[in-house]
Amino acid sequence: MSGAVRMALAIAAGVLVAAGFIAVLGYDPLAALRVMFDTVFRSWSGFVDTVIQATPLLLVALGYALCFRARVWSIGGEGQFHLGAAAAGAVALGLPAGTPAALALALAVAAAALAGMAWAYVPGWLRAHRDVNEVVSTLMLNFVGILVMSWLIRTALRDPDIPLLQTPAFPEAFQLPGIGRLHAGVLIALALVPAIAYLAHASALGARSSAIGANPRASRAAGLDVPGTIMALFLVSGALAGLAGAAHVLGATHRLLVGLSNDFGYTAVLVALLARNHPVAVIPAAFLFSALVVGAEGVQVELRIPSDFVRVLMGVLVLFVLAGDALARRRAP
Amino acid sequence: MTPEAALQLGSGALIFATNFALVVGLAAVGAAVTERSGVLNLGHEGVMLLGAAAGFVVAYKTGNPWLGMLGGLAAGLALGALKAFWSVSLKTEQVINGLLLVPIGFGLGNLLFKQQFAGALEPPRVPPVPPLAIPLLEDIPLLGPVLFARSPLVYAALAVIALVAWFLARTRVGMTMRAAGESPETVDFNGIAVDRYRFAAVLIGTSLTGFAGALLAVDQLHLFHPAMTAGRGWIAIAIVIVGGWRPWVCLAAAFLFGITDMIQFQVQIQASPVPYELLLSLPYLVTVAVLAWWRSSVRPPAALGEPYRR
Repeated sequence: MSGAVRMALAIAAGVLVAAGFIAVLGYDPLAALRVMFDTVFRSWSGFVDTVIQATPLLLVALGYALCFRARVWSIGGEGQFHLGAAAAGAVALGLPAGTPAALALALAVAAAALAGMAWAYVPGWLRAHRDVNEVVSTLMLNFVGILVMSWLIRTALRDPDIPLLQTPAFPEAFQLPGIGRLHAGVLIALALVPAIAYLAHASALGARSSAIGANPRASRAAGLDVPGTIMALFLVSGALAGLAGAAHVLGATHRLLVGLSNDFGYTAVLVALLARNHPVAVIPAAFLFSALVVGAEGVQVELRIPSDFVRVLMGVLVLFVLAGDALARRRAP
Repeated sequence: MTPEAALQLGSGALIFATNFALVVGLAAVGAAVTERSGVLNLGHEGVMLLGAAAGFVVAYKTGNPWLGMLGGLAAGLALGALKAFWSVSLKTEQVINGLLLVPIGFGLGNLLFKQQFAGALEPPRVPPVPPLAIPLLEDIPLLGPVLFARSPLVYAALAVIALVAWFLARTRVGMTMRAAGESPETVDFNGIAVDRYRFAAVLIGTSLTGFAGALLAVDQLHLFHPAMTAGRGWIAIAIVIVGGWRPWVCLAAAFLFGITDMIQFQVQIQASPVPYELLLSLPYLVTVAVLAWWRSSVRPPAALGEPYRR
């Protein structure tokens, strides 16, 4: 059975299991499926939401895919996203109004990438040089990263005129261009896919990552720069997650606010896994999971089924992908 | 402040620290058992949240906190079966299949809670469990109220930890479990099914963590909130490393983390000029710092994370 057929079967099995759960809890799974589809494909705003939310998923998951190929389990995208968003927001709010828009956007994006890298540097260094479990360290820094952004919103960057925890809107010139709510961030994300695919499949970094993923001890014995490779993976993925934060605030929200991320950094883990760590496959995976999340929000509004079912659905779906791959390996060793 | 008032404040602070320590400690002891058998489970955060939701719902609906604790345990068992099947039977990547328990546990927990309390105007609460004071011992200054005037669920949690520690160290099954994590080939060579022991060790780990979640919801906060675990399941994994995979040391390490949590809370309620975001970050920053500087003499189980194939 080919990988594509197994993937289709896994997705079908995941949907069936989730439908079963929905039915057990006393809701109508067929109605839920129909509303999900209608939300995403039969309303323009639902479709735009899907693209908007797929953009950060795509960027963060590209970085994860690079790391996971080396079996480096950096899952710090949520924290790096918030740091990137905060950096981009600080630049957009801090620059004088007369700054040329292109320069301002470039500065904001660069600041975001640097902030994401800085946030990834610590767990990266600890993993590379002190063998600290990166899952735990990146997770801990996710909590802290969200709090750093909340602190900035509450203090230095707060909009004093509104009794809400948010910053003023960025000047219009410093927002990403777009058509209506659909912003150019998705183009930036898509444009980066070939670059990351090159890194994964054709570069020295990609080759070193594969070797480390297959056998870190042998790689070290063979004289490979394991710590350097791990650092590079952390920094690239941190920059991508920071960029995701910049794209989202400069393009979609146009200000910093509490609850900025719809769990992008966590859903992106599932996206990368669904794509089997293949950068090009991250594109459909990101759009699929974004569609599921947006569709589930439609289901919650229309049918009063809590949208949380979508997290079970995505988790189970990836479980089935793992199972399919394991069974295939067993049959054809 | 009178000496009595100072002692009372001190006891209150220590109770706060032990609350954190018990929840994290239970999960860490569970994770330690699982890891000693050679299986890595990174999904404890999700297991704990589902345990909290199930424990709260059962305790609320039946009015019986003990049944709530059993509900949390059962929820942990269910997620554990999933994890064990994917790790031990299918032998898929343990890091990944553990991480998947987090969205599944969070999704199921919130779904269960919202479905049970749809349309509730106020967040539902369960009544606190009346404390069970042990005569004379409860009068010990400072430590009496912390150790001997607690809810019976606290004593049950300590008993569970003692039982698991004894099981792992002293029973034949516990020893075989540890051997399965150090040298599965030897276990297999003796005609013992490695995978069966690993499966059981995963179930012990997640049922303890589900129990911990129920303790948090039913005994400590008396409510359910989607963000209530706040990283406790992740900190538990760090504590296993700090505690050198030994149950009692894990509990002691969890207590030190509990002190950190207590300090940040105490400073917060003093209306100090320190930003509360920094205080809330403290347990997470301490976890990273401890992992960075900790150099344990205990090495991890030799076969940790590696599926056993003949």
